[in-house]
Amino acid sequence: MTTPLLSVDGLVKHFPVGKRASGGRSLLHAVDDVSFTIGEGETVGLVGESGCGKSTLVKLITRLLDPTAGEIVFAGENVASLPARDFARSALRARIQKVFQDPTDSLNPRFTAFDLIADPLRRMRGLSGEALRAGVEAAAADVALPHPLLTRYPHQLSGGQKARIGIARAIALEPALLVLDEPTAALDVSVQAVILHLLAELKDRLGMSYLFVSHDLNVVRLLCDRVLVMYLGRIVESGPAEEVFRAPKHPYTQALVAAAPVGLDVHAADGSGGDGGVASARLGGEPRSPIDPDPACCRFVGRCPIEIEQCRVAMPELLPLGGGHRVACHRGVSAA
Amino acid sequence: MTLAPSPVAVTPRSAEGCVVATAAEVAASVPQLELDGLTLRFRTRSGDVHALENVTFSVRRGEIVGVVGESGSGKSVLSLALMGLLDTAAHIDSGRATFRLADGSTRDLLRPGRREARPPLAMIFQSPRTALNPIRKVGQQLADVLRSRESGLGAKAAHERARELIGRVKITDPERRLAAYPFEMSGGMCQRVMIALALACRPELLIADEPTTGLDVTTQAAIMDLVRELSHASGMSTILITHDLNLAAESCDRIVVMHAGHVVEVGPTAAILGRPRHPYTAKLIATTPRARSTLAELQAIPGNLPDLRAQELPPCRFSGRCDRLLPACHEPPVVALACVPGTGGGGAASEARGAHLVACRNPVP
Amino acid sequence: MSTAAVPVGAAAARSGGSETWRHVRYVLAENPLTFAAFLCFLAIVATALVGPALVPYDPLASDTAAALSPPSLAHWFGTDQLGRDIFSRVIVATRLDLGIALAAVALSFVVGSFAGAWAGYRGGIADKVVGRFADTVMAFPLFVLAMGIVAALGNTVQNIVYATAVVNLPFYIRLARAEIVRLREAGFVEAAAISGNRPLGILVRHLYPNALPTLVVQASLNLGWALLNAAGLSFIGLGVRPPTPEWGIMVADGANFVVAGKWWIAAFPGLAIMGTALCFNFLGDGLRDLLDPTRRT
Repeated sequence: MTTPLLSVDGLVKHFPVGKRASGGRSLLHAVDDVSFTIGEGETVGLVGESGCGKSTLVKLITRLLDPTAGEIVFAGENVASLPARDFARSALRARIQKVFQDPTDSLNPRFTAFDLIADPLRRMRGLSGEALRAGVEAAAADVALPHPLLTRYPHQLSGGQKARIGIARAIALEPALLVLDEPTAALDVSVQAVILHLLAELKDRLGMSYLFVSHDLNVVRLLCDRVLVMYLGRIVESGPAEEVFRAPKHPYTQALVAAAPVGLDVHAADGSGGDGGVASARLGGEPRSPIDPDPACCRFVGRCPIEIEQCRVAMPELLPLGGGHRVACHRGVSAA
Repeated sequence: MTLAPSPVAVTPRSAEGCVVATAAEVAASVPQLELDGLTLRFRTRSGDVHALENVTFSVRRGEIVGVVGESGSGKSVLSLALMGLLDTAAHIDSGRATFRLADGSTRDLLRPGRREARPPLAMIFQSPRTALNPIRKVGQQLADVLRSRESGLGAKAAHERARELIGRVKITDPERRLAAYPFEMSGGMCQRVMIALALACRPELLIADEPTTGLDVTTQAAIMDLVRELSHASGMSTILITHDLNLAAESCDRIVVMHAGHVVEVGPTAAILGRPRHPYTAKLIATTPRARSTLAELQAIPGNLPDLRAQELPPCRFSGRCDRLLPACHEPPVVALACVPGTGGGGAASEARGAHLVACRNPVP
Repeated sequence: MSTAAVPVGAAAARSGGSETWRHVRYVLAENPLTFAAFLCFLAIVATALVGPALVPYDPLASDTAAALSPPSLAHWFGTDQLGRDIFSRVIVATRLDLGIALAAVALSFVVGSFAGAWAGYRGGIADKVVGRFADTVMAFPLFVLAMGIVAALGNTVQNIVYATAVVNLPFYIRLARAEIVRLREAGFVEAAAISGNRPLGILVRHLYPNALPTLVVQASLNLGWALLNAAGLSFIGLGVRPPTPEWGIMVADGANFVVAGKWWIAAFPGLAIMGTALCFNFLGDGLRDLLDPTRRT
């Protein structure tokens, strides 16, 4: 068994927020006890809704934030022990890169496309002059961005072109792990198809691993080998993507899959339409508060359609079901 | 599974304030809204933008019609034109939007009259948190709308009505929510408040412009459930504008496909998605990720939207991207919607009754 | 490590220059007011540079025979109580007044915006210290504070510049801090960190240039105020001493004669102050358009 590229173990991130009546700080549990691995060349999807801790987890993995506890082992080194503010100086900085969700927000409006792609090359490789230009043009060619566009500013470019710049900037340093944070959410559906194809092709050609964060289950299904489902800071289910979506075992995953619009399949021309395969029960209520949650109570209690006494007494652990499929639920193997 | 809406028979049930169609009207399928040949352009310093051309479709009472297309297709411009919210740069060159009210009178939405004669339309927008006034409590905003429509309404009565509206959109703990500010509420809840604001206008037609973009998928499902339920309960018809074909497919009785300001295909959902006739519709379906598709099956649409500022726009604006191009496609006049054989007679009435129309000289067989 | 504050790509260098010029022409063509203000500014700068060499009379030469004569062909702006040609004095004073205003604003801008940007980016103690300093300065009536500083440090032109600069610091500190706080949450800042920029590099290369347009607009508005401040200090006898021509003291001198009907002694310097301040204000908007790349077509 080869060692995985990224191994996260027991990752915790708490933010202090305000004071408790009984004294001491209140803590917002953004990420709690998260453990997973990403192998070389593997694409792992991360799904979950707003407030589940996806963004915090991404910041921890890209080392913009220091964890409260836990290990992040990347290429054999425990990068969690290196403080975030020193990470920019480390050689490992170039090996973990990120593609952002909003191309407009993530591109400096005062930089040209050339400057934007050149920035990491200047900082991490110290390139300048001809070598720099060659590096930038190579990255632009990789994402099929025509050279004449390199002199333009972001506001002079279309959404798809800006997305390409974001990708070019991220791959310019040839990272081993690329974190993609909803890379196509802000794009038109036809541009999305092009970008997804591009990402798949780049992954194969450059041999990268992807952590693909998305709320669109259909897109995650297209690209990802495995998927992690997060809810209120904890991983509630993980496993091969196709299996998790086809037969989700955690009630939250079931609600997600049921809620995803499948209209096109219902009316499919090839007659393969069904009704999504999973019984739908709309998820009511609001998520529990992530501030000072009860450590002995499952976080899905209150919204869960199948909760039992046990759920309020003990936090369910992520247990294997076989075939790499894990679920954190006391009802365990309960089917839909 | 979720409701499977029937494309033809709508059973109107009455609700407070909303007069519903009579059985005779439903039988005659007289459309509630009839858009005929709407052509609109924006005058800008760098030329006229021909945003809409010859837009024709109809909406029957109580049905949900989806308007789908990519950005730049003109969907939002269309909704603003119907609501009378266009700015002064917009010029309507031709066309009518005939709206039949419950009492039988008709109004042309594009030529609004005096304030009192405003037709009962309401609209909900994308980004609900930004569409609400951040410095006024939710209850006050609802009361504002209620009192502006009924001049004699007192503060207490308005508050009561606001609470009742909040309940109709299934918000729990209404008193607390009425006293809250928009920033204290989640995106989904803000969208429910916006729906409540729309309901306060007692609309006969609701225009929903990308109401679930930016919301979580479970919230999205809940909001769409609510819209469908309100629509079926009160006979309120809905125009759902979205770029998400999956969403439109789940909720809509009929679908209007738009491309670069043209309506390219109209018809019942099952027909449009099951057997699309316009090459653009087929490509749009092929490019949308589905639960069962693979990456290899996902096809991009070649080319780009034509520049709508061009002086000489081709009669078919999809001709630059189409792989079923014929020489006849470059010939004027602008291609009109025509019935797909076997789905009904011609004309607007048949479209309203569920015919499948396509604007193409070489439709997909 | 690259030393360029706002790097321009090698491939873009040549076309970048002509594109900037094209953009400048576009902005000036679109906005006649900016164009007029720009011309005015050029005229004022030209006057400051070459005016003293071209004036018809020596600004210090007095001619008591012609004292207090109204504007005429010989003396376009008339003469003051010592017979000095007001036109020459107004022109010559341009250099001094413009110099004081520019120096004060430049000093204030550089120190204030850097301090504010750093405070906004670092937060914590730095933010609190800089913030309290700004609050303290702003607690004083600013003109009185300026008077106090000049009185304490000594009555020289240099000290007027320092006093005006200190009094203006809080505006730049607050504005820079607010801009940086707004911008530091943007995605491109996170992207810069991931690209290997260290915190100071992010502040200097990514954040500060984005805050510049707002700061520059403030600076140009400030120019007008600094001018008024300097003139005001001279008006009450601090700073520039007679017989040096300076608009403020000229207005002070002329004020005594307005009641007697000799309006031109105070009016022309006053108009010069007003016109220059107005020109700076109009220029501010135009500068923002010039500097903001999102306005480029």
